[in-house]
Amino acid sequence: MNGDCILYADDDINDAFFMQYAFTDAGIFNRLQIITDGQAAINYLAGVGSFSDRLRYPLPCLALLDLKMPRKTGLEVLAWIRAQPRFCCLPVIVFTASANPADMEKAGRLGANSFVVKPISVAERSEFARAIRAFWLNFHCSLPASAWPVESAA
Amino acid sequence: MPPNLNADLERKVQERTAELRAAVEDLEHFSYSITHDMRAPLRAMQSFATLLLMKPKGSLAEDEREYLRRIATAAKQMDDLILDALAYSQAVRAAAPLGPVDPAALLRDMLMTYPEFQLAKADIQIADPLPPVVANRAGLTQCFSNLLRNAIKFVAPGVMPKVQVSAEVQAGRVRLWFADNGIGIPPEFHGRLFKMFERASSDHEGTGIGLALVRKVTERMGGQVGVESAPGRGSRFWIELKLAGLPRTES
Repeated sequence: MNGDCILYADDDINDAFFMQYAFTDAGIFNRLQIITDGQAAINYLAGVGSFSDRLRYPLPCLALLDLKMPRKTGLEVLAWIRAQPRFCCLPVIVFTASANPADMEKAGRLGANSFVVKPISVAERSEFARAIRAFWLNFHCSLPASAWPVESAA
Repeated sequence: MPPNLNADLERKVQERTAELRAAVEDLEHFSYSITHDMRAPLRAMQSFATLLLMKPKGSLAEDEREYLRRIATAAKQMDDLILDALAYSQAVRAAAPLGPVDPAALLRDMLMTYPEFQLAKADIQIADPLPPVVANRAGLTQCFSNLLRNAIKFVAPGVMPKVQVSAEVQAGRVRLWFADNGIGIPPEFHGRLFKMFERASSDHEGTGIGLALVRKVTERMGGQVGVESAPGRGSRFWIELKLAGLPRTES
């Protein structure tokens, strides 16, 4: 099982709490890094400021992005991620409150790997966490860091 | 008409159209925000109550558990209300192109795909074939699923729900009947049934939006809805739509 951390960007602290609960319930021991706005998610991935400490803020093997967030939306974060050569293979799951067709289309175009409507009940949330564990942390092959594309010189 | 008057009128039409478009966009933005922001606190209430209920037996008194269950149920009810209200406002606004639809084929598809319409839970008979109607496929699906769900929901305890769907053609119009073996509805409620937030029974869960949605969608397809019912004798809901010409192969 891939043991890297999972980045979860959501401004709703309750949802973040429930996700942590569901992950623990599903036996996921990867650290869940919770970030509460879009710009902070970009800063985290880019290693800006204190995020440059990769022992405390390691790069994730999976990112969950809420769409409606302050400063930068989930779609803006997604566009930024896909514009970085080294994150070309980072799995990104858009995790939002509704299956809005316009959002789904944009997320797909920008290169989201999956689009998930936030489960409402505790039981459904645990099922979602178990699915993440089974698929993204087990079956999915992530590109090893040594094989990451080199940043193109800006 | 003098040319300047004509140009004046043209300009007014353009202005009004722009205003209308802005109003629609506002409304779309509004319902998007409702979906995302208003539902989040409900999700939290429901989930925290559930987490407390999952505590080991003995850590909570029975009345405390009951209050938590009520909190969770109330939050769930409000969430259902929001979702149904959104579906309704969507039905009012969304473009719904009309074309010939085969109601029997649509119903058969629904019976196969919806778990609650399976034979183990309800006995739904369709008088196949049914005449083709002028409708919008998505809209008609919404109407059928609401009518079938109601028919199945409002039965006396222990009774296997039975629904019969049949059609009647008259003067170029098709009336589709949904006859059930449910508890029936007193005549004094018939007039209010299709209005928003009206519920004839408090013994069954519901938001009071389902039938309002059926009426709205049917009217947008150029049709009408109605009911014949009496307590203890089941209900016969109908929706009436234009008869479509010979069924063409659908694209």
